[in-house]
Amino acid sequence: MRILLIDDNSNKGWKQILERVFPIPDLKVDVAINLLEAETKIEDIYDLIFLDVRLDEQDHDIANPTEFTGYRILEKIRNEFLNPNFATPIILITATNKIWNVDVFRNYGVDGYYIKEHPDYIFDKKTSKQNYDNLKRKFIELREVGQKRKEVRKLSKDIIEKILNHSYFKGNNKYENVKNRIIDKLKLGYDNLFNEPNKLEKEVLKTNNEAIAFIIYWSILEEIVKGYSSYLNWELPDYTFSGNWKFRNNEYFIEKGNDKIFVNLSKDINGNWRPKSVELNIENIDIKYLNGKINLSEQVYSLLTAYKKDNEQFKELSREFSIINTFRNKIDFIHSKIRNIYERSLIGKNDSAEQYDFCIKQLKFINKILSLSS
Amino acid sequence: MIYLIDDNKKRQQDSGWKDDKLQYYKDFIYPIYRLSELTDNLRNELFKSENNVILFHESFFENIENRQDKDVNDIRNRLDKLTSASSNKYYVIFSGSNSERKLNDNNKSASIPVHILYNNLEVFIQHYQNTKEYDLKYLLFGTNPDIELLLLEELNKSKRLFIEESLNLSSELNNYFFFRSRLDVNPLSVNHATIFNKDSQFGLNKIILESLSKKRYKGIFVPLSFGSSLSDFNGLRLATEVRCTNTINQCTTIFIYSFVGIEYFFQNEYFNILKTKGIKLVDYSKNAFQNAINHKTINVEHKELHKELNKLELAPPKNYLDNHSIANEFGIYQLAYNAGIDINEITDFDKDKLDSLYFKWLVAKNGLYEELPEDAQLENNVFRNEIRLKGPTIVGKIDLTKVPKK
Repeated sequence: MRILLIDDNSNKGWKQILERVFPIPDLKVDVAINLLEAETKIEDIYDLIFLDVRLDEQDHDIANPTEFTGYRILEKIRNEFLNPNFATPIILITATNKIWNVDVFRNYGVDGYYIKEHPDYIFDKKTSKQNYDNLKRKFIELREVGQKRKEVRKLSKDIIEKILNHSYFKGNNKYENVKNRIIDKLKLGYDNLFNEPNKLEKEVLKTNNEAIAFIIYWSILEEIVKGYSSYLNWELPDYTFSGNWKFRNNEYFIEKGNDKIFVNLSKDINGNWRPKSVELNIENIDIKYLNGKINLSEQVYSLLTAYKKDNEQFKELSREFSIINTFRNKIDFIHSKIRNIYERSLIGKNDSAEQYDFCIKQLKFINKILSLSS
Repeated sequence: MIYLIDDNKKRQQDSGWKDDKLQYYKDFIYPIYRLSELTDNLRNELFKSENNVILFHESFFENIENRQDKDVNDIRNRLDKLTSASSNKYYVIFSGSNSERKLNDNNKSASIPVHILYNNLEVFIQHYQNTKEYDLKYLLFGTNPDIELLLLEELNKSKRLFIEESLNLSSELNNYFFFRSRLDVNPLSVNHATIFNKDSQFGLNKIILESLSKKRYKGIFVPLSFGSSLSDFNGLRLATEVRCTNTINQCTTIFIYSFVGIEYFFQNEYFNILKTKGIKLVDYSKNAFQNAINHKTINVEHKELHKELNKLELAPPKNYLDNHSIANEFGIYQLAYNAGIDINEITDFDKDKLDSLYFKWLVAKNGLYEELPEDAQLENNVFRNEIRLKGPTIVGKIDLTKVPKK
């Protein structure tokens, strides 16, 4: 485990005390005692950061906490989603007695705090022990959360890097817009996943961040399908469906003939979507193929069909997507099953863990789709 | 000219010597903050002229700019020569770690605490304005430069009366411990320690540990004054330090024997020790000593100690950079205590602080001398095993001596 201690007093005992308070076998504690050292060190990825509020003598003459050296370092860590330690948990380790200073730091992404007890306002023994117990509890909690945050951030980062280098999302305002929406949804999903609800939100408001995060990640597929589709499928100014749905590799999903519509996707006898072309008469066709209002799962299957390398690849990806899609159909926040409405409460005991797992599956699936090339 | 050599302008300003005041006395005082300000001309003036006073802060050369200055060795050597007996220049060293005043026999050099210097500097300058002569006694003792003579007369008078007193002191005194100065009467108990001038500043911790760690006494006698300056009333500091030092006599009743009334020392930094339980002020007389040992004394209890010590309100020593330095050091100590870690394992921690009175007071008033409760120790062990992610979890202890052998 790698910890970074950012404190001008690191080498006056704080590094050593932290190494002994947390005697993890492979623990390595790096230190930075000023802004310059911190800026260099935060280019490396850590599992946890301890951050002091004031590192410079001049900080003691400053009233505005956003001007403290500690805050400037915090900004450099948290101001960009792709920063190496954006997901790294941070514990503020400070001698300040002003709770509003701590609040300012917490508002910009600090996850916990430990108060260095100042002789002028020392805690009694019981409270001092509580301060220490909080530190231990936070350490264990953040070590676990940190691993999850890193996992999600890495998957998100891979997606972002793929999109930034993807030829489909460059050089055109409309596709640049799609790219930006995907990136924003990744950030939003991350925020929802790791925004720890308070007691009120959990107990009274039934906040379910994992479910909301999953919905956000799920909805990224809309953007991806449109990014892979020709925008000319929809006529301006209202984006009315033209009747043809062509992907950018010139493969059709829906191709309009004189009095027929060709759809390059159909269901087999088991009800599973397969890349099989079917010719439909306009008079008795399902209206969705005329107005382009296709549900998202079908859009995704059409994309997998259009970009499949071979049938094996299609089967593998559609199987993966089918599992996610089944879960999506189960989830109460998109459209609830009738049985759920009459028999099941909104939030189940084990839902959060399952929902988190499916967030991961969804992100991995998005990564795979973006690897499909023309 | 008075040359005030102090690298920390903030320290000056916090002591009341802001720019306007320095400007007001600019014909008498010349502040110097960096070695680079000492041009060749100024240096010659400073060291060669007879009628100069050099006030020098002990940490001046520790400042990084001064340390790296090319002339640092030359200046350091010249200042060192000022401390020799043959020097006839006025030279005063002041520092935050200094806790007493010392005027050397030639009356031309001295060492004093920071706050004393800045508190008395104006009086010192004003005396020069009136008489055109420098007298370091004004710098050390402020508006009462003859206080030392007065106190010495009183002490000698009390000593004389003590010796002449016909009362025979009980041998019970051998169950008491006596601290004495070299100016005091001969020891009255087999258990005693003499505090010499060299010990009065930095050696009290060692003397207390050596004297009071082995045997529990019925009481401890402490002289009101000892050390280089009687008007420092170091006995109050010694009593405080006994209360703050972890020995078996930490809570033993202390009798401070005084040769003057409290009007002489009520402004002393450690005066409040007299307000705490188990501290008695007695006269410097056999009768008072006999009464002290005759009356049943109630010691302060250990569990009351932190409450009593909270009455002291000691100020942090001036050699702390700022309040945050204290919080950092105490924070490490506090965390080590709660985590059951021996502070001696933290080799980066400034161990000298552990022997300093202020830090010992912080530890004592927060009850950190007491051992961590057993359940807290167990919790710590459980936690350490948990985060190591290996080994069994400790849930209790089995005393094998109670297991019957086959």
